[in-house]
Amino acid sequence: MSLNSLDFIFLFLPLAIILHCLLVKKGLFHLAIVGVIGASAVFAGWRNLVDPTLILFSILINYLVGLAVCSKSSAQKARRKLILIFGLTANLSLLAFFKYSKFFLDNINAVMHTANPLVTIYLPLGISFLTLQQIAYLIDAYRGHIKEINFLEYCVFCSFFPKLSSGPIVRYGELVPQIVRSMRSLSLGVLAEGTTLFAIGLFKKVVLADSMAHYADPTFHTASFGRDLGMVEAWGGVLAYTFQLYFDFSGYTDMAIGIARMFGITLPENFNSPYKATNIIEFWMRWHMTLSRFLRDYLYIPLGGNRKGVLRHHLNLMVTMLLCGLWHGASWTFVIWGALHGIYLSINHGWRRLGVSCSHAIGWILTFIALSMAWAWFRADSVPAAGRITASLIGLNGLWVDGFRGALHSLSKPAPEYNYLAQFFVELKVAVSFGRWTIYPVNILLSEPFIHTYWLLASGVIVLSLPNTREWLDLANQHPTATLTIRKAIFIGVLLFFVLLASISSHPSAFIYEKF
Amino acid sequence: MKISSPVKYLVTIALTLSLVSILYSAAFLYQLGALVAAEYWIYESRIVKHELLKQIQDTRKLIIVGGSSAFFGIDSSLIEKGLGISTYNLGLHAGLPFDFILREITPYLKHGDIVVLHLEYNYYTFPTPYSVWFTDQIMAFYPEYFWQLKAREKIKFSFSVPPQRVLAGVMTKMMGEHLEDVRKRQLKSSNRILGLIHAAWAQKGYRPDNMHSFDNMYSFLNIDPHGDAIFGTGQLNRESAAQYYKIEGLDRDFVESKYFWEVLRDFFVNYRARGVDVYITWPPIVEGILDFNSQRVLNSVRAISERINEIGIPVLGNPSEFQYDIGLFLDTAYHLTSQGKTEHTNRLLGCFKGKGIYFPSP
Repeated sequence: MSLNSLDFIFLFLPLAIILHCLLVKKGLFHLAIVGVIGASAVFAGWRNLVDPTLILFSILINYLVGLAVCSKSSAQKARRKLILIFGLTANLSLLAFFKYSKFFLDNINAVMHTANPLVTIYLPLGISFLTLQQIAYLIDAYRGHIKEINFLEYCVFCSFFPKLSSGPIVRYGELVPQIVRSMRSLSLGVLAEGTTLFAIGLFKKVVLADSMAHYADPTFHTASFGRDLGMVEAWGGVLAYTFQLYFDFSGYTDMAIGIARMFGITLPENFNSPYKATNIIEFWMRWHMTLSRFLRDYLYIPLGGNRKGVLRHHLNLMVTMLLCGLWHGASWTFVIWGALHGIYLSINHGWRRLGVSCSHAIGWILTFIALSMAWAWFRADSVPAAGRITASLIGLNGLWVDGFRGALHSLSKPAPEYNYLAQFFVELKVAVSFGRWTIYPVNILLSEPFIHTYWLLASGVIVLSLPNTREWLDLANQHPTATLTIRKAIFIGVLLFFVLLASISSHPSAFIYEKF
Repeated sequence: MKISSPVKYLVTIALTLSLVSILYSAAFLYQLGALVAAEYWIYESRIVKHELLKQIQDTRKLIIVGGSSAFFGIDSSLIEKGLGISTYNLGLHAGLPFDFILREITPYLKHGDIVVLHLEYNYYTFPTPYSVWFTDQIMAFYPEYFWQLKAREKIKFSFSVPPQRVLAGVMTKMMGEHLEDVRKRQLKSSNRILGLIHAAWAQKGYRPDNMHSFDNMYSFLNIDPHGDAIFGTGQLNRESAAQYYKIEGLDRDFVESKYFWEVLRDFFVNYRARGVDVYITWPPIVEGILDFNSQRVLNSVRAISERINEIGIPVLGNPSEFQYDIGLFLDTAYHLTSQGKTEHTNRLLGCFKGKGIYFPSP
């Protein structure tokens, strides 16, 4: 079940909240926790029973390993380390089996000219996120950051449904202490806050991300079919995907954080206007922040970070980003995407060492271009397709694939979905005559390339000049409900109306990160 | 401007959403009947075809039901002669939903009648009756259809209309009377349409004017007294044909339409019980474009045939039997020339006779 599905919005979520509020109101706190776990199990099991079974199995193993690892006796340090290694291996093996076995076997078969059969192609719900959370939990337990572990609370930590499929990646220490506290802070205030966040996220997903997908997808499909694109078409598609991915994932995150708020729980932020970044280092401090934090604390720093010399620093960056790429998906395109970011980060750190200043504007332009070119690898179905798009992005296939005449032709007719509207203006005789030529300006203004451009411009304005969700809601404020004004309520009502309108022309689509 | 109570905040969100939705619904209802660009020849042709059915409602008859492949591809008088039963062609446009085209004939069906479903392949995969094309036609010239729908269907219908179309409708309704093109679309009355067509049929050997004009091809004046198209124009190329079949659904992964099969089953069960025989046959397609040995086409044909067999409807022929040379097609991959029409009808007659369907005294 997806957070933007009708089943979820009109059935599952209201029922889960009502049940939770009733139990909390009656003071049945333990039962309320069981209720949240039950709701999460139903959420996970909506597709099939494999997912909740797997999650439960994984939770049980990790809970027991965690108990053994967080033992206070220092005399058993070696034994605890051994158990930790077992726990980490178990988690990574489960992830490897479901997520990477096909990739591994495909490559073995390709290199060795063998035909080893596939083990599985099934990807359990949220396995990538669950694995990282449980690895962080085991390491925190080993490091002594976790003092006591309650099984029910651990279940909520792992399976809490808003963050189950795509995060944010939460630490044990930041979620579990809130569980009991949240029951006391449950109020209409948090419900209003949660609803606002949820509505903004839904708008980002249904109106913005899905509309951008309409322009991004054809570009990548064309490349997958082995056809070249012109530079303008390639940039149009790649920029559309750049915005689509942000709206899709940050929309999901807003929805997840909003739902958690409805339960009185605060999940960590995942995005802080990432496309405003003026360099790649800053970008990673603003994009998928909980993943960056995980990679920094549990991979980059243990590898030595920047403390072991310049060469090792760059190597650590590269290893971290390669694994970051591989975590996103079992494909060489993700590995190359990770490698590109490893290179970008190395260049950025190298530049800093040189101490040469660069204006913010130039920094922003270079960063945005580099990011967009890397997203082409992130989105493409295959390495050849990504290579083809990259070639087009740098202008190796000309400006337009059908030449200037083809480009003019596509400007002369309205986009199919705006045909009726354009026809009205044609009948209104809104036209400009040049000798024997008659031009209908509205046909041009409502043509596919123009509509595409409007969407890109609107996205650019939203992403670069408007406050992000957190800033707009002033969530840093101690009493965020005090910032919920009539204007904001009207604005949210209008956003929800746009969601309703957008859902007329498109079917609910899955979130991009749900596939990871 | 601060709201102390979150209740007020939540209520304001709900009120705003409701208010804007009500305004949008009002705009939607206001623009129903606005003469936006649409295929008005369908409105006029429906009236003619209803008139045909009215005239013969007490006679035992064979009715061909389908889209334009039937309209341009069936020679009803040839079937009438061949089988010995009055035959009428109700085919018009493949964009009209299946329940809609069945609803057109059901008031006129009686015991002993035969219905032949000559359906384009898109019918088997249409997920919903309310395509953008169909809702546009209905809103432009047949808003009564919308009002006849049940509340649930009305919501589904309105949720199938793009907001841009609603906006075009509102603007046309507000300013249409000042626009020459819109004024030209003013709906003709039934009496006027029937007067014109009867006058045309009264002429011996009637043929419409300018038989190279698409406007005249898609016109109620291009209907003969059996409901068949009198003429067609245009010449198909292989690339367009291939593209057409991809869009139509035969040469792609088969996606079953729950809506279609439910309507078909209900119709078949209800009307068989009333003594109406129902058959299904296949539309004409261009020879050599579809690979009937390819897995995709095989899967599609198999899926459709299996579902028809499950319901128990007798089938006339199989898809590959109705392939014709591309020279026998007009402007689309479903519209046959008059020579193609004769050939297709003869093959269909062969299928009828193969099933032992023959009526010695009409």
